[in-house]
Amino acid sequence: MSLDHLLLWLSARGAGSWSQFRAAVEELHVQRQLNSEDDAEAERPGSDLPVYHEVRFALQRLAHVEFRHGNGGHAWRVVPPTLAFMRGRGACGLFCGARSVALLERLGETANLDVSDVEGMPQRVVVRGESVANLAARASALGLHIQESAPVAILCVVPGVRETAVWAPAEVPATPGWTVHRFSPLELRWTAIQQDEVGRGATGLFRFVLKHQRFYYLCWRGRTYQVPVQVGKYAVMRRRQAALSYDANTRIFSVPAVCRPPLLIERALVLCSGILPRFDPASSRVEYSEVPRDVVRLAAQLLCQEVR
Amino acid sequence: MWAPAGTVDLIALQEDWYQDVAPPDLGALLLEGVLWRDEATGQEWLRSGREIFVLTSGTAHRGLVTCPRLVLGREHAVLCTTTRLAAVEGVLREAGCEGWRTLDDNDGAPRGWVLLCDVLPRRPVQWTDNSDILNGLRPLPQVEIALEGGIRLGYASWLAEHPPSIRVYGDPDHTGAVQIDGHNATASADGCYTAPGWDSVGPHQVWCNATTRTFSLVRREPLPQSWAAFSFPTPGARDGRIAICGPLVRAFTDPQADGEEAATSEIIQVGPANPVLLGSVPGQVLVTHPRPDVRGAQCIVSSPFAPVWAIPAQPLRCDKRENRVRLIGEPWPPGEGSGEVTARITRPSIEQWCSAIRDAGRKGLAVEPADPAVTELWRRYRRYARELWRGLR
Repeated sequence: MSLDHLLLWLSARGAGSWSQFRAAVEELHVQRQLNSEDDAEAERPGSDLPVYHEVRFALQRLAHVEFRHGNGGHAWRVVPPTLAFMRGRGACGLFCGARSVALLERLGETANLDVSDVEGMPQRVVVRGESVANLAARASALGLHIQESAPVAILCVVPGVRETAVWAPAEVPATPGWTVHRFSPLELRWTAIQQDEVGRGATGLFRFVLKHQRFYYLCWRGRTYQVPVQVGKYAVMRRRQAALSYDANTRIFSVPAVCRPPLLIERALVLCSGILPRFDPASSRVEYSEVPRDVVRLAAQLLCQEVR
Repeated sequence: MWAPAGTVDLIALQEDWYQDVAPPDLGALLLEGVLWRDEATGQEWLRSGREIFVLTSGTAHRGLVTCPRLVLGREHAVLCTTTRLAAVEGVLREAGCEGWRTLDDNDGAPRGWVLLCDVLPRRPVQWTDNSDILNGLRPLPQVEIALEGGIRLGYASWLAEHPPSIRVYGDPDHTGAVQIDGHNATASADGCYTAPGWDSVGPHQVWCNATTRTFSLVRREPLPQSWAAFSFPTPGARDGRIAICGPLVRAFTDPQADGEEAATSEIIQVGPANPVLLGSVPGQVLVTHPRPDVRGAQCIVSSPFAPVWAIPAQPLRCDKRENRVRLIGEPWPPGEGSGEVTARITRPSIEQWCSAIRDAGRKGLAVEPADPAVTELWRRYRRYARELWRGLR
């Protein structure tokens, strides 16, 4: 069994709870095939992150499925079938979201499908046509949504990492017993501190761990917020500390594995190629392929970083 | 969770399962049994100790899970103490098993235990005594119809294109004929039964030796409805919100709404140098605002009309070598096209529409794409705007 079967199952069900998702991962016997370093939250080499968390990260980065926290509503919901056009690639779109065997067959009858097996993700389906307008019209007739220049469109609307208006104000846990770490932007690693040290400094990102609970708090200009860990890291880093890198010849954009971008920025980078980033064990960096220069420029501004 | 050797964290996996735990000295716990108690609720988890465990795969979980006994024709693993190994292997041979692999604590088995893998029983074995722990290794001559694999959507329903494999486990001497929907079924080399029409959409019944199993195959098409997974204020604009769902970027139709099911509409992306959108009907003008915090970001806007042109904000003050009038939509002739929002068109908006076209024309901005038909279309707009402007005065 594979992630393809899981995506077909998710597409047929439409939406469900987190426990249903985990049950499907178990029942469909999805094996651990993703890179163990592909671990934005745990950030431990050889992570013991459960396989269903790895699958979740892959599916949401590829824009197939959306996941959410909390008790309200669905824990996961499949994105409707969508053709996401990739910038600068002409009449060539990436098939995202819900899929079925019948839908893929109908799509294959009206356009050229380039289906490729890539490790750690469902099959990548690229749809090609004579022109963007023609391809979009055919896909729309089959019920697909169309998104022009998907990576740029996403990057043009997501808030930057220092957009305080979207941070959730919060208080750090006052009860004792938490293991607390502070993120060092200089060393790009977590260092253990005493719980009562939190909040003494002006700015900092703190990790609170108690058993399986893990929370991230950003102390910023005298206030405290609960933020996604990736947002917090970039918020506290200076303009060159993340060491973003771009090779215009290979069109590979890379970041240290410990500095993966926030979800929607990473999704935009992934949608440039439709392939999950590759982890390079030699450099401990994750590499995003086929990224155009203008996408890099937008991503870097949102991350408040310079690109080398 | 209190445990004799300290505490254990149980994390819910599913409604009736927890994630796997790896307590220290697992071998002793398996042998002597364990009682774990939730310190808060008093709930208890009991695993009685024993020297032999039978496990099998192909359940609702990855990996091996304990089962009551060996089943004929199904692959198992047997975990036993080293002291019981000789007796276990003797019973397995009686059950027709051969070629199993043995893993000890050097290979990851608990200390004092061995794991026998690839155990495939082929014949039933009479029980000797109801209390003999080795009876778990003696298969009964019963017949079991198994529906394995495929993509299961519910208790007995599978996706049509991914039906389950139909297998029959049990004593070959007692199995007899297998029928699917009343047709005699045939087994493939790997033991899966099929019959004419067995994988068609609808309900099916498998019968063998007075045992039946039913299943149905259903076809499900993905729902096309778009929804809002993330919601942000429209960058650069005073009001309005943007929704993201997968790769889709949409604008909320109602600026006050931001729920998951709220109605959304398509967006238009225009370069920051051309933030003014013009439709084909006079008065169709929409001014977008570049995002202030990201240089070079496209202006994202939801337009109530179908825009034809995008022009600079101040045509008379822009550099004509770098700025263009861009055709961004269907090449509707002036005065025609989709005029859905006639109610919003006012005299000031008509004047604004005319001024924008006349200013861009007076500046002599080039047209993109540089196609003669597009250039001619722009000339027609200029003439139309000029005549309309005279009429307004």
